[in-house]
Amino acid sequence: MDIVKLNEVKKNYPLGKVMVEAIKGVDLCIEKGDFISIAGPSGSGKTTILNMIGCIDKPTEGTVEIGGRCTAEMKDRELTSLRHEFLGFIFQSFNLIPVLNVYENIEFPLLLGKDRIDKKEKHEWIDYLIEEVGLTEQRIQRPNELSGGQRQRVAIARALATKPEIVLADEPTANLDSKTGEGIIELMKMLNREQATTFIFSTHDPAIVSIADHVIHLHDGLVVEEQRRQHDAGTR
Amino acid sequence: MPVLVKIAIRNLREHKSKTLIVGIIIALGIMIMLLGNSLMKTAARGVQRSFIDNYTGHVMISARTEGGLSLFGAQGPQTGNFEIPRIPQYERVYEHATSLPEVGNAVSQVSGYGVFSFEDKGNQFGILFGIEPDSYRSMFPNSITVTAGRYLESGEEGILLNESIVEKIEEDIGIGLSPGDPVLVSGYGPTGFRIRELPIRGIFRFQQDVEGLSQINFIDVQSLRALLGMVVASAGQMDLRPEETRFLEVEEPEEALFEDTLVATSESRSEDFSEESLLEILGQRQPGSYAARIDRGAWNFILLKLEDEKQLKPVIAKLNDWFEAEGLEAQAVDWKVASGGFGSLADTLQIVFNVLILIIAVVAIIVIMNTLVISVIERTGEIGTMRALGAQKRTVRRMFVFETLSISLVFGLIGVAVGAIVIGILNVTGVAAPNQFFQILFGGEVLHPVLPLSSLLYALGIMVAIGIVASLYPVVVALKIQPVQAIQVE
Repeated sequence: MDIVKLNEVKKNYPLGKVMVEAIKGVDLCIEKGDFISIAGPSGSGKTTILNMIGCIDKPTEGTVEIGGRCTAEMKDRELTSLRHEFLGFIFQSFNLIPVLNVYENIEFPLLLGKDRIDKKEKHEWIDYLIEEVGLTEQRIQRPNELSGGQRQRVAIARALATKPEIVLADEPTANLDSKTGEGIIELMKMLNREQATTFIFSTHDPAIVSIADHVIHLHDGLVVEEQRRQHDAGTR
Repeated sequence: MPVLVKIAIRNLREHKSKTLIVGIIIALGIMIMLLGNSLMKTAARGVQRSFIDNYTGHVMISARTEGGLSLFGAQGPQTGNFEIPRIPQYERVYEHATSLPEVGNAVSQVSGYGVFSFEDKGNQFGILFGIEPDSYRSMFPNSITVTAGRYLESGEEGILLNESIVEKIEEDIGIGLSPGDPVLVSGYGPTGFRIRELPIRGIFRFQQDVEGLSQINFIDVQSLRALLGMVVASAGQMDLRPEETRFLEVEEPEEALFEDTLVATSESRSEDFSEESLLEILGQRQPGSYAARIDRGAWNFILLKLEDEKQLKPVIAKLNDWFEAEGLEAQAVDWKVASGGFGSLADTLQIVFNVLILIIAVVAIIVIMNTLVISVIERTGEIGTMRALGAQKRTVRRMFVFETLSISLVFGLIGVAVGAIVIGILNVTGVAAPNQFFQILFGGEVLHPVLPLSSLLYALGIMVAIGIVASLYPVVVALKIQPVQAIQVE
């Protein structure tokens, strides 16, 4: 089943007085449970593609379907709900809420929706996530007391808090050294297998591209190459 | 949503300098507002007290006039008209007014202007309040202190001179007056000047002496009526020395009196012509009853003291309705009108003060708004992230409203506390009136401000309103932040 579907997607940005064609027509299908890397040099349109999948940007032409729903006609409120229930985000610059500690940052998305989950259950789930990303000792520290790698781990845990179908990560390793970056991708891959969550991340770092099962190479707003690798046993 | 409160409060703590700037403005604004309001309110109460307790009572009944009429005479464009109309059908009006359950005490008064003459040495102007001593004293028991001589006694003729008038006469004319001395008083009425020699019974001063009231002297009502030409059947003795009779050469006194009688009679006939009134007119032809009727009839004002101050407006409305229903050319007004504008001073200042508050509020709103907009812009990435994670617009709005509300609440309360302490200190030490103007305003020489609950609620209300208004625009800015802006964080 295709959880994400892009049909003939084009995206133009105004840059001063000229229009920049960021995406020039992309067709894409992503299956549930995939671990996908969108690779390409900067300016190739990786972030734009991720933003459109993440429902925080809309295509100029073409359609984006998330979980079988077309996003083009949706209102801001519906898109927000869709993001909340269906998607998780990991950002290049971590984007943690500075005034909240590790636990509270991970809890934050759980406090936004209408559905209230049991307090004890919520508590156990957040503690489990903290343990999974290896931050048990930093539980009540503020983001500015953490290293880059630790911050990104918090962001990963936060992205998984609402048990989303898809986690989007825009250059999650760009602000990290290569060793930490690899660790982050390994963590994501592990969670991908454990939680059966679809992970889509963008990167221009060839070293971590290879960890993904499914690599989409972008260049100048077009898909130039798509590689699918055999899944390891037990992935699905 | 408690997490929003948590974020709001932590953000305020995190950005201490910004919070302090906004907070101090709020606290100062509230403090000034509270302090000013308290002074205003206390002053207004003081003025109210000093007028109601000492000169005017709560309600003043007089004949109906076009311009404003105060206890001191005509106000506004008619100033200079010396004749104060008398209350029509005084007896009925008095009986009706005093029969109202809300009315506690009542007294009648005649007001006029007089000149104290000292042969060729000079004259001194004064306001004359014609009273019936016993009833006046029971209405305003503590209004004056007799410093020399004694109070007027019922039925006797005489004058109580204001201490400041006595001082002025001594200073300007060089004549020292003391109780027992006679003084020549001339009054002016519709029939011209009349002059009388009256014994000074005593010298007094007002408990709360303010410049505007230092001209007032008390005189027995019969003498004042005579001076003003209100009495037509007076048995008053005119003991005039030859040099004083020149005042009377202006016209024939007998003829003037006669004319006056005619006018008065025709008026009453046209107003209510009934068998009763006819009999009354006929009855007046008998000399004895004629005099008696005038004694009870010729008054300019009835002053009423109410049991409960809150009944002021209803009682005035009730009285005016009754006058209208009965076709009486009379009116009831409150103490502010009765005091001839002195009582409204505090009101005027309250308006000026409110304008000041408005300016403070606008400045505060602008500063707070500006600071908040900067804070919103600085947190663009954070807000974008929240939106991307699934925070609806209303959540963002709430977060900022919490932020402004908590800052205005905390610093507002600090302002209230500091203001209350300052008021408390001033209450103990008192604020001395720097000049006569403030004396009128303060209702005395020293003001002891109190903090009425209404001022407190008013200040808190304004504070919350400032918080809400100031956050409107910043919230609009915050709501314009798109989730995609989350990725613009550096």
